[in-house]
Amino acid sequence: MFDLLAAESKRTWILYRRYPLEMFVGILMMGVTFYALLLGAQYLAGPVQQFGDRLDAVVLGYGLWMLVLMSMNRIALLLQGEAQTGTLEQVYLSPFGPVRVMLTRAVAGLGLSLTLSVGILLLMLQLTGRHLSFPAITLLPLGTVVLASYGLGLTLGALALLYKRVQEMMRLFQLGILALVILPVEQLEGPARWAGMLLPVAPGAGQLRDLMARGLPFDPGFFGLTLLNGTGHFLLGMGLFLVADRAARTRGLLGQY
Amino acid sequence: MTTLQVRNLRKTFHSGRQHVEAVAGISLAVEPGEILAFLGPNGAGKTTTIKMVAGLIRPDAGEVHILGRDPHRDGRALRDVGAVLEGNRNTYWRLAPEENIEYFGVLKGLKRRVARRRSLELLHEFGLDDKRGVATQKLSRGMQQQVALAVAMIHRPRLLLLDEPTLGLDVNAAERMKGMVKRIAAGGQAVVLTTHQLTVAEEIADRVAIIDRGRIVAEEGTAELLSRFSGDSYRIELGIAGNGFDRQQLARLGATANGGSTIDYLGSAEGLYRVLELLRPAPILKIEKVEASLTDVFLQLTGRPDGGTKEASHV
Repeated sequence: MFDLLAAESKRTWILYRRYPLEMFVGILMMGVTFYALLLGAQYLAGPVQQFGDRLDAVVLGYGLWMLVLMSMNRIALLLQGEAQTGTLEQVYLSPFGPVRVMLTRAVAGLGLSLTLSVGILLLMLQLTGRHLSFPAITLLPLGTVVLASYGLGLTLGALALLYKRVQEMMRLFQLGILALVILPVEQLEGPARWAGMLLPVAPGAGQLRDLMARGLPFDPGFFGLTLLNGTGHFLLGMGLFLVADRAARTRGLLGQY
Repeated sequence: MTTLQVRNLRKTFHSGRQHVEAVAGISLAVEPGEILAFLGPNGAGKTTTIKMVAGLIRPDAGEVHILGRDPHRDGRALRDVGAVLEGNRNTYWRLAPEENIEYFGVLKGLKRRVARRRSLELLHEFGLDDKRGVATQKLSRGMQQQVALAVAMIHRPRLLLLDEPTLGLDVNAAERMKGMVKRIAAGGQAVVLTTHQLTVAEEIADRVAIIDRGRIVAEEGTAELLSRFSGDSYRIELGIAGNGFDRQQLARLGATANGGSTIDYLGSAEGLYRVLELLRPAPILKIEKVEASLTDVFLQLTGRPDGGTKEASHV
C-alpha cells in the first residue's frame, strides 16, 4: 500500500507541476470568491471590526469549506474524468480494487488540498487583519472532518459511476457543505444538538471553531462524538460506493461516458 | 494449467423495455503461449466477453477462471491479467510513457523499484527509449498503442486481452504490433484478441473463435478452419495464354478462365483430371489448391461482412 500511495503522490505532483496554471486559477478563484463574500457582508453589516469573533469563525469556516470541497470533489471528479478519457477500466484492472485506489488517490491529494486551504486561510487572515490560533490538537477534529469528506466523496463517486455527469449534484453538495460547515452545532441544545451531531462535517467544524476561534480547551467527549460521526459517514460512503460499483459492473457502465 | 477457462458465459443488457442478449452461453479455453482470435461482426458480443473475462462486466451466468481464480470473486486473479481495451486511451495522456508504465506497474501490485526497472526494459524493447519523457498525448497513434501494450505487460501477466489492437494503426505500426503479440505469445503468455481485421487473425492467431449474436459459431485452429472451408478449389497456371481450348466446355466442367493463363476450378479431384485433359497440350506451370481466407469463412458463417463500421481498416 505504501508503494501505491507513493506512486499516487508522484502522479498527482507531476500533473500539478506540469499544469501549474490550473492550480493557480483555482487559488485565485477561491480568494476572489472569499473577498467578494467579505465585501458583501461588510456592505450589509458595517465595517469588519464589528464582526469580532464571528469574523474569525467565518474565515475559519471558509477555509474549512474549501478543504471539504477539495477532498470531497477529488474522488467524484477523478472517476468522472477517467470514465471520460478512458482510463477508468485500466484502474479497475488493479488487484487493489477501485475503493482502495480511489482512497489512496484522495489521501495523496490531501497534502495538496491542505496546503491550498491553509494558503487561502492565511490570505484571508491577511485580508481581514484577524488571527486564528493553530494548536496541534486541532489536527484531531480536522481529521474527522476529512474522514467525513471522504465519505461524501465516495457517495458522489458512487453517483458518478452510475450517472457519469455529476456537476449539478456537486453544486448542490457545495451549498449543503457550506450549511454544514457554518451550522453552530457546538452551541445548540437538546434534540437539535443531537440531530446536528448526526450530520456530516458539522461536529468537526464546531469543535474546530471552539479550539481555533474561541480559544476553548480541547473537549475529549466532544471529540469522541466527532470521531464517531466522521467514521460513520466514511463507512456509509464506502458502502454506497460498493453498491454502485456492483451495479455499474452489472449494467456494463464502466467504459461508457 | 489452462490459462483461461470460460464456461457458459451469459449476459443480457436491459434498457427500459429493451433486452439485448449480448452473450448467450460462450465457453472457451486458452492455453499458455496460445493466441486466440475472437472474430465477429459489430455487436456480436466480443468486447462484452473480453470485459467479463477481465472482471469489468458481471456475467448473468457462467464462470471465468484465470489460472483457477475467478476475477469476479478474487481480486488476485487480476494480477495475471493485462488488457488493452478498444475505444479507451488506456494511459494518462498528460504523463510520459515512462511515468505511465511505472505508475500502472505499481497499480498492478509491483514494488516501485521493480516497476521503474520494468518500465525502462519495456521502453527499450518497444524502441521507445527516446520517447520516454515525452507526454503521451504528443506521440503518434501507433506509439500510444505501444505504450498501452507496455502498460498491459508491465507485471508480466499470464493472460493478455487485446481488444482491436491494430485498429487505427498505419501499416508499419500494425506490423510492429503483430510482431510484438507473436513475441509475447512465444514467451509463454496466453493472448486473447478481438479484431475486425481478419488478415490480422489469419496471420498471428493459433486458434480462431467466430462469434455471432452472442454465440460461438466456429472455434478451431486457424489452419484447420481455413482448410475445412477451402473445399476442392484449385488454380491451374498455364505456360502460355491458352486460346486453343473450349471455354464453354471448361465452364461445363466447373472451371473458369481468368485472363489467358489462369484457370480456376471448383470440384472433385476426378473432375480436375478431365479439365487437365481438356487443356492438353498447353504446358502446365503450376496446380495449387486454393485455400479460403478467414474473410470467406467469416462470410459463410455469419452471412454478412465483418461490419467494420467502427473504423476503416488500414491493414
